Amino acid sequence: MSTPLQALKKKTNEALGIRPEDAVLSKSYLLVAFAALLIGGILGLLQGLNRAGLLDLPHWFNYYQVLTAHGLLLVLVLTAFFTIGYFYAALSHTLGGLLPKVRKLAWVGFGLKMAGFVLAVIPILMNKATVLYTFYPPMAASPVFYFGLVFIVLGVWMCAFGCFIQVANWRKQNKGKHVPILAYFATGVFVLLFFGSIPVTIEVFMIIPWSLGWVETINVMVARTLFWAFGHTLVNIWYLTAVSAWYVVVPKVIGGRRFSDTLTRVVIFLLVIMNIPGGFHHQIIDPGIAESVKFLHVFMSLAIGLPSLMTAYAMFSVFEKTAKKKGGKGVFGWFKKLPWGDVRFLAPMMAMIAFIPGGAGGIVQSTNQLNQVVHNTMWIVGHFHLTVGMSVVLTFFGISYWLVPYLSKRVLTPKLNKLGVIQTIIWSAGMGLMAIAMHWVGLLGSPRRTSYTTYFDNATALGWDPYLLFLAVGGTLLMIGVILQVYAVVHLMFFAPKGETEFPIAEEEEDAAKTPYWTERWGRIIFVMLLVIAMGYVIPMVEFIVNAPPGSPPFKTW
Amino acid sequence: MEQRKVRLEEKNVEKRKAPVGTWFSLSIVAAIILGTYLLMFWFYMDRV
Amino acid sequence: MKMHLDEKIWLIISFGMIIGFMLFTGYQTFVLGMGPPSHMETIDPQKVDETAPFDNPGVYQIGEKEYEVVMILEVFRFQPGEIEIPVGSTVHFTMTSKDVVHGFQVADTNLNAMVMPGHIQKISQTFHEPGEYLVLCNEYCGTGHQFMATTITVK
Repeated sequence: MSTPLQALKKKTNEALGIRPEDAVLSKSYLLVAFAALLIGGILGLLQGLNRAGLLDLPHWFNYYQVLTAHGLLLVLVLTAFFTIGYFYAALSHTLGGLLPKVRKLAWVGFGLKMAGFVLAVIPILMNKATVLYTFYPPMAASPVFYFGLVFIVLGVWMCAFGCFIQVANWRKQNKGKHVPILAYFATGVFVLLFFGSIPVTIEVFMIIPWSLGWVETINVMVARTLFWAFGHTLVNIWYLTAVSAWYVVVPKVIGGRRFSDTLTRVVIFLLVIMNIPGGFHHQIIDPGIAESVKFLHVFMSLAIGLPSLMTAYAMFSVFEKTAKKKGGKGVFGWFKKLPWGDVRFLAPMMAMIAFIPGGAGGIVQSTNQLNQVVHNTMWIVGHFHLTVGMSVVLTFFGISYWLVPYLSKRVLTPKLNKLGVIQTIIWSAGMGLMAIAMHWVGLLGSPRRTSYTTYFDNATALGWDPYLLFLAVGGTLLMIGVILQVYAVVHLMFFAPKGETEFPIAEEEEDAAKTPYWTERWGRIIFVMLLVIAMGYVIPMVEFIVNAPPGSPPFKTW
Repeated sequence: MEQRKVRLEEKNVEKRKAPVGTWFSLSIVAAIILGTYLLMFWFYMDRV
Repeated sequence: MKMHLDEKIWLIISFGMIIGFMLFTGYQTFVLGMGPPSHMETIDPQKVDETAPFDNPGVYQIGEKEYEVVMILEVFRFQPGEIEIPVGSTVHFTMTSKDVVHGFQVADTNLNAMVMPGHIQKISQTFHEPGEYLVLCNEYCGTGHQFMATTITVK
């Protein structure tokens, strides 16, 4: 039972909205996220224009520097800062305000991450860390770049610890009660962030002495595998963040109830448990991993698809139920009853639609030898622009239209809602066009991570050019989308009319069954997660280390 | 107790009749997954 | 745990689809030997030039319509380049990298493999159709990455 004090806190929180100190924290995180979107978006446009053969990038800021910065800003800064800003607002809202020490931890984390990004970006701008965001050894960047990464990870850990302390404190004061669903999502996300970033930390600590010249060689397969244990987890951290809005926020926005609380929690902890070994599907055509191990990993990767297929069911079921209450009938009728003109629904809905082909591509390209058809081709770039660029980012945009005014105590005006709808359409069109072209040209063989080239006027390569033009078209549309979105965020944060905006959290169905308490046993969930990680990693890691070749010295090939 | 059970079952049947829209949408999801598989599999076998 | 019958059916269908993909892939991998390139041998990446077979990179005929290509990948070239083979030949590539991570990809074929320093990678392909095939590096390897390409001519 909650203490009277807690109950009072919760009530005041709901009545008066978020506390100003907590609002400043989340607003700062969101501002950094959207600043990263603006800069990362401009860099993306430059790349699109280059790949289409329309723009030569100068020597002092070449394609691969642009690509390194684009990747770092969008897949690290935008997503991490948004995720943290959003979940800290949710923790504050649903757990009765942040504890002072938790807020302090989040600010320390903010500082550490900003310091880390500055350290990482300086060598990138100086062309001393043109290693792309995957920084595979034996390419060696300036040590400063890796120091930056360490600070970023430390900053992320501060935020993870803050979340754990906040949730543990709430549980202590509310014995026997379920953590509110958004706080449960936050716990899942921060558990993944913490455990997922351990492998990359080990990797960076292998690299630092090597890049400083204190150690002569490095084991490239170990480094690469540690990277992907983190890299794939990062993907599902954004995804789980987006999913939280699909399950909890979208039903409220469309005027419905949310899907079964138990099944929602099951989806969350399944994603947490199965995630980390997914990294191996980035290494399907690597040497040094036996075919039998790779086959085991096909199963481990495809299993991650199951919670998403459960989500597909949950979403359609909620949509149909809600629309039927409003009189929508038959196979299609319900579709028209959804609030398509409301950006808070439209943006996450487009995100979900994009996840259908995105997820399908993910399942198929992880299927062992089929990966040979598309590995490291533009298909993959198309895939993650659908999944991250649409499923995740459009959901974030959709969230921003209520989260930002909620934080700034302002309201979303109908005019700005319309702007949001237009933004969503432009973004979907741009990303859709670009992603389709990328998928197809990838099937034809065009490689990813390569600046514009005809390979000495090779006929095959010249045949890709018409498709690559769509990268410029898509990139231009997306740039317009970025500008509209950043304008909307700034407007909602500082200029929109004053007022109260609700933090939309859907209620359960009236006849919902009680959620069993075992879903709260995070100790057990983490234990199973560690077992699954061991299942996936022990055999190949032992193989890489015991049968290691002589290591590689550092190279600077740019 | 018995009565409640019967009522619950009725309710379930009522709910189960309904989700044609859900099934229609899910069949699109399944079709896209299968379609993507077949597309890539066709490319793979064509190049063996 | 309460789950609607519809959801159970959907999950069984989903799981069935995934298991179907798995079984079929497994059959191709283990019965037909079509698994992804996964060679396990290692090599000293700093002594590639002195280690057999890479001390003599080149194209070797090892049977009727069967060739072995011993290939070194380094910034920013494939050695040997501009390979010529008769139509209908099966070619076994044995590769390693002398420096950073490279990707070996031949457009319009299933040849696609990561080539890592310290590891030997093997992959095979039968060329049924005549023509000029584009060989390219599909893992970023440095400033000249976009020029790392050659051809296989099948006559």
